[in-house]
Amino acid sequence: MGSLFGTLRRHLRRGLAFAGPGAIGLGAVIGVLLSAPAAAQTAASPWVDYDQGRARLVSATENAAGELVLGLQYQIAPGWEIYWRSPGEAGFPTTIVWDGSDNIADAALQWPRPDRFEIFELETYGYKNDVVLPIAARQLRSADPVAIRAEVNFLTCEEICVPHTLNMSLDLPAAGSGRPIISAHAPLINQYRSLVPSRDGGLGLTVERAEVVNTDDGQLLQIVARSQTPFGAPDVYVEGGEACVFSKPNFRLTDDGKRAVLQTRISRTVLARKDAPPLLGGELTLTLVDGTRAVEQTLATTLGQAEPGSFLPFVAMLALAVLGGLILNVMPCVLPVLSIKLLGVVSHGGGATGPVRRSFIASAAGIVFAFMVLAGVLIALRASGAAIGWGIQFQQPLFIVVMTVIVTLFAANMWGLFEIRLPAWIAGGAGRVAPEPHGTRSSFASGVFATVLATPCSAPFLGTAVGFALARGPVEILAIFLALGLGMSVPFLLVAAVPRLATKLPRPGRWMVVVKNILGLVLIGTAVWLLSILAFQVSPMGAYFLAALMALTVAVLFVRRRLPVGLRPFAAGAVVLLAVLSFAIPQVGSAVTRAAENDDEIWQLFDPDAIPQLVADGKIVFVDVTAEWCITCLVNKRLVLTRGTARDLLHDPNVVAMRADWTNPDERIGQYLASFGRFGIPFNVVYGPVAPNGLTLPELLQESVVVETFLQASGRNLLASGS
Amino acid sequence: MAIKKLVWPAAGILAAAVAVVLFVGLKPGSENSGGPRIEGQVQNFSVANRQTEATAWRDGQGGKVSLADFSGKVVMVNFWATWCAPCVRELPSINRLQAELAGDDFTVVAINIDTGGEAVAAPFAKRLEIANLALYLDPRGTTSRSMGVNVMPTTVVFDRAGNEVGRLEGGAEWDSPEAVALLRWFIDNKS
Repeated sequence: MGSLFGTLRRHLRRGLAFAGPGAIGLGAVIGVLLSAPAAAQTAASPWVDYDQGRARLVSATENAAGELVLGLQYQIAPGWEIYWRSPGEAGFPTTIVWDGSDNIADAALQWPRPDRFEIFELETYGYKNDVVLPIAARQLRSADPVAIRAEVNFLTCEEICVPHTLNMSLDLPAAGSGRPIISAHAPLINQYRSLVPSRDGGLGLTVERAEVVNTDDGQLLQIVARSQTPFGAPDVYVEGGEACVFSKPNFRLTDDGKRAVLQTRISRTVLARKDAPPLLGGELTLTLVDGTRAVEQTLATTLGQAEPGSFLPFVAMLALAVLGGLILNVMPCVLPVLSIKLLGVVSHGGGATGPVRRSFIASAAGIVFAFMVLAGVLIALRASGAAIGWGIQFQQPLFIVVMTVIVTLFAANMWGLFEIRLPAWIAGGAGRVAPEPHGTRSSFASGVFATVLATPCSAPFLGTAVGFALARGPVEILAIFLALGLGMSVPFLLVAAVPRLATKLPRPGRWMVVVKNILGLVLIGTAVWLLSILAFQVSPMGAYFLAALMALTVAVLFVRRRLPVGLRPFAAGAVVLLAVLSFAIPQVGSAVTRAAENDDEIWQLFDPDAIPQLVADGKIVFVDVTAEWCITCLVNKRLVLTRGTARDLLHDPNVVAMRADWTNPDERIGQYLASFGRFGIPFNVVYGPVAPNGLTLPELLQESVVVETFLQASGRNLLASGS
Repeated sequence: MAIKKLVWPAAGILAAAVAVVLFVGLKPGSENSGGPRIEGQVQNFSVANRQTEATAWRDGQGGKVSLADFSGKVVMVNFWATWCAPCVRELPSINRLQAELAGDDFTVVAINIDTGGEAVAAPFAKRLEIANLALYLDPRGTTSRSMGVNVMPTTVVFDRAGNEVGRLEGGAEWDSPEAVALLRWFIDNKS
């Protein structure tokens, strides 16, 4: 069966590859030019199919007006790779012969940053799935049309390698004295042009040194790089040292993540050429990649000393994630959960350590479970190509309404207004007379609940760790989220390990009532905060309505205890009715359009396409990507952007302030973030004459950093010329 | 009643038996009881019996070489290139196969198709330590094209008379027992 299936599979995959002796041969597998499909293609050649995909030429303009921006667009069958300009240990890159073309000159292929693929234990650099290789060219005579005839030679490999030669042709009329007409392919070509490593270091990335380091077990290549904004997960591709092949480097970040030291072992492999230049002192071309930023630099190697410190990037990120998870516990959204849990122990008089231990372990398990579910959802979303980040579920109004209802009921429970199922289910036996103290199931649920509450809170280190994971793959996402979950469970596990921490708290008494009342207030504060998000997302009316419903709920619960026993079920029914009613708010509320009012008149609506022109006009552009659910954004706004020098800068006539609101999902903002290798907010960028590509700011803003970045972007004369 | 109950299980067993017979009958290798066993590393080997033209190629000194030079031997022609990862992967096993099986009855002919020719292939072969394999070159791809090769790696086996008896597209461990057994079958059974 295995052999039969294997044979079938290979034949299917290979298609017509085995056409028998004398058929199309190696090195001249001429692609069949399919007759043009029914829909007329403009600014594109017809697709040319080959056995493992298809390719065509596209143009960013419908006509030719001097500069030509073209692209070789591949759609590659799953699993098959084509190669970067340096293929790594095996493979060869795409080359194009332009014979037969007319009125075109200086055609040059550009190479978007590659990915690493291992094939038969050989490290290769290339592309899979969809890719466009941008081509820059020039029209020779402006009055004449352009005829492009491309013979495209490339190799594609999976378990086997198949070289192909495809012929494509594309004609563009001359624009003459007219203007260039942008084609439908322009965005795609530009997207891949933006992935071509920059050679002028405009992205705030610089390689400082490339060093050969002699160690006890062979030579290392050590690269020291700087970034104006913290690195995520830097990687470097090395070209020029023909004698050497470099595997994926380990990296270590210092200086608040703005300095990276990358190390990779130098190995001489079968690829070595006899006349390869010496590595030490020779020139290397380094392509430094971090997220979607990539720069290319050529520099000579020097002899260096190994930077101290261990190179365990992934482990370091895991540690960061544990720390971030731990800090989540003291964020305002989660603090009540931990406190309530401790109080639950107290209210049961402590004593027996067994059940306490079990209950806290169950909560920890609930937390880890919830993080694993989150990781799964993020992996699925990422696979579907959605722009993802931490806290995206807060873009769903229904989620916020449900959270508001739960938090309100929770608060009512804290105030002793009722003591039945819901709080016991959620709080893990925090109710005053919970039927089953420290029930395992309810403790587990409280862990899940704590995690859900934690998602809008960004904690220090958490953004770095999550960004790292999202930039990698499913394995990293799972691992980082597991570490986050474990970090957040640390206090719970601590109590589980030493139950006396909880059981030795003072005996329940008057003090507990006070603490519970305070926690109830904190929860109501959380509910108000949720309402403020809702006001922005749906409409202020909807938020007021929900606030009224919640107030009514609390009132009913308050009155209920004073009702005759016979009437109490009606009160409970009323509460359920109120809750159900509130779930209708998003549907009703979304009909009411929310005015796009900004609290401050200086803020313009986000328009990334306008930025280059503004910068060209000498303006400084400040972009603030924010969302109502982003607490750190609010902090930045309150403590930095609306105060002192930062506020003055934003009001300067030379400065254009743009605000992108990510409260609701927005593909354009998501892609904008992704173009900087970010997946979460707050996110702030300063563009200026000296920084046309923008300088990113750290997540937590500081006035001094904002001012300094403005100075950098402006070329330092802003304050002098300003008021 | 009891017999009625047995009808369905019996039908099931019968169907399963038919399936097994069909499956065994269709399995490559046993479809032709007189043929070689095709399994494991060489499971994708496709048996043929045809005249395959093979234009001459060059040796490391620039001399012309053709299949006729190996007349009387079973010849395994392997096409490889430095850019082809699966080729690089299988070459050491072909080198060992040559050490094990080469003689009056059999030889491997490994032909490099890099356009860079000897300058590229020779140092590469040296580093790969495949000294049992003579360096043969087809930098223009004329030989591979004449043999209808368009996938790398491809390995074509010729009998003593120079007829193609089959080929394998894709890599294999050529010194594995099943590969050696396959080649031995051609050595022993085709004159």
